[in-house]
Amino acid sequence: MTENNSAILRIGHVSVVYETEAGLAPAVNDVSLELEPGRILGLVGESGCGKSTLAQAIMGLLPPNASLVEGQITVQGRDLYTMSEPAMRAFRWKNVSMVFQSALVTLNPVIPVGKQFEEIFTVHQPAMSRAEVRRRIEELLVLVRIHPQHLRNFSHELSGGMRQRVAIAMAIALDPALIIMDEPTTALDAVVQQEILDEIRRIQEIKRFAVVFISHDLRLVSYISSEIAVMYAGKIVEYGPAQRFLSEARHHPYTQGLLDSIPHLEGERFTIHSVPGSPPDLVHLVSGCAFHPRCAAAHEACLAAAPQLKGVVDSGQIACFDIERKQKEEAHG
Amino acid sequence: MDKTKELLRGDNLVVQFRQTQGFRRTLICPVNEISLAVAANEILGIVGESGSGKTTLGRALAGMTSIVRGSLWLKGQNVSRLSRKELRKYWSQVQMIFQDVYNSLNPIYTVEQQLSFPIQRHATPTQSVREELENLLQITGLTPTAAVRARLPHELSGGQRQRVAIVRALAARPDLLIADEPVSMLDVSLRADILQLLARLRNDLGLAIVYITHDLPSAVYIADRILVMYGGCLVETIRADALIRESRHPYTERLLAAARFENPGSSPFSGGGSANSSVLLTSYRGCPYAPRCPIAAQICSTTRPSLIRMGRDHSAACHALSGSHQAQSG
Repeated sequence: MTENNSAILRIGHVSVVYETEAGLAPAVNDVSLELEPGRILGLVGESGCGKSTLAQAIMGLLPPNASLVEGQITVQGRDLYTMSEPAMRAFRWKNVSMVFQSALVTLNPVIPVGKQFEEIFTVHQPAMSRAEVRRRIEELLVLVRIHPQHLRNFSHELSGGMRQRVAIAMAIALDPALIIMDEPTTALDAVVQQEILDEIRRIQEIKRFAVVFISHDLRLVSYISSEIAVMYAGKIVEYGPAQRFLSEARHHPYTQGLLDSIPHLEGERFTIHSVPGSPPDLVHLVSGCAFHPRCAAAHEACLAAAPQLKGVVDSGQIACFDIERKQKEEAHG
Repeated sequence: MDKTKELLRGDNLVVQFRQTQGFRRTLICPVNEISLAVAANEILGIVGESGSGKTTLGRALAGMTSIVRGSLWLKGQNVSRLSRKELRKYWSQVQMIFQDVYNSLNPIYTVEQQLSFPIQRHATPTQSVREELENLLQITGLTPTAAVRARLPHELSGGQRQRVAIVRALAARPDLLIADEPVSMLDVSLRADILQLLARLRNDLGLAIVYITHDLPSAVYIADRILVMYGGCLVETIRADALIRESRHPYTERLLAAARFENPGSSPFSGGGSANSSVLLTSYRGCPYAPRCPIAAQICSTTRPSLIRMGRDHSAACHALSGSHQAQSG
């Protein structure tokens, strides 16, 4: 790396726009992020906030009606968007791989799991012998605690948790430096969900890959991440170390809403709150801060201009005029 | 529970399915000798993971899956085996909503077209379909109603789609609504709205609700009583406001730990076996939770524990809670 920091993933002022029947929808709007090797970045927000689009942009897998209109994404210093198609295909999975929400969709239903696993090696490491491939696959399965006998199974014969373990084993097969996990546990039961998260953490500590972990559930994200970025209407509205989100720190009103929607014990009962209002319409975005229609602290300034991410006292960044004002007031006594 | 307020009762309900594994045919039992009752105006939570049989139980209660043994009673009438004609009448009193709303709404009909038919079908002569639709859209928070009426399902948000499904169920003016994972596909941030809507409908319309979920906290939040299912069996039943303090079954404890994101030390489950489906086999005689239970003793894998009364509205099925466990494991 020529620069002083060793970031494995650099996202610089990235904007992605969808062409829809209703008009242009800016799904990702001027997002900048960096991720160091061996760290887990949690990306959290409601459906339509742009988190999955950002993941697709990192993988170079944007759908045909979406385009990267601005900014640059580099993985290990290399820009996917300047590569030739074959180079990009070789780079993907070897350097950056992905785990999706439903392994039932990503795994081919008519080919046994083992065969699909072998394909990863026949495509990317054709020099490997069959026996070596076999041994390597078994090693990987042991790592995710799946008995190698399941290689003969078809994907529908495995439980949801097992399928997700297989998907993780496939993602780490070529020892990539970065893995994108898009809602990897959302389709699972609470108990299995936690088991998979523990599994990811355990393997990540052994292999030291970096992870972008995407979820709508801030509770999951703060359980597994080292840093967290909260997205709303295509923008990052809060960023900081994960501990920030587990503490009583000052948060963006949207983050606070997400935190309140986590079931929490109140006496003998769990209590849950909603973030009021509904998610933004990207085609007809409101002026100013996109969150203002749902925000209790909104005032005129929030309607006039969009706030930028600014450092807050306790090591984090928040894009909110109300918090800026409060910090200023406190600074002046 | 007060007997006079009893709306729906199931006695020793059994549902079985045939399953083919390769060349072997087996019989599984996703609902295994379950007895339960739902009082009028009550919210009953049924909690369990995938494969616990909770959805099958819900479908059996809704008359959508037939029971092979046991009996089902609605307001004192035996409804265990109904003809097609009788089922239609049953469905005007018991309605069901599902997790995947996208697939349960017709994609080419607007909200108004979607809902007019069921409303017309069940309408009273005094009220016009339009008025009733307006009324239901208001109650469920589908506003502004004029705009919502004209929308197609794909133009609605996930939360709105679930509300439309709720309106459709309410059109029949049921006494009981069976809601199978109604919020699981929604963003965490929007779930409380739908749960609060269900709670409000119970109060405003005097509805009873069976809320089926894998998410224990949401059931504790909304329900009056909770049934915990595992491997087709009822493992614990308890009042929701007592669950956190007084629940005793090891599986309920595990669910609570997961809800609090506590790691219960060494994970009892290595992900290797699909223990789940083998405990559903009719040939399995032990406690369904035994293969994953951290305190399982020998007796647990050979004998199914029966429900033991732990207190008012509280029973649990676990050998560790009766004397037999210590005697054998010691």
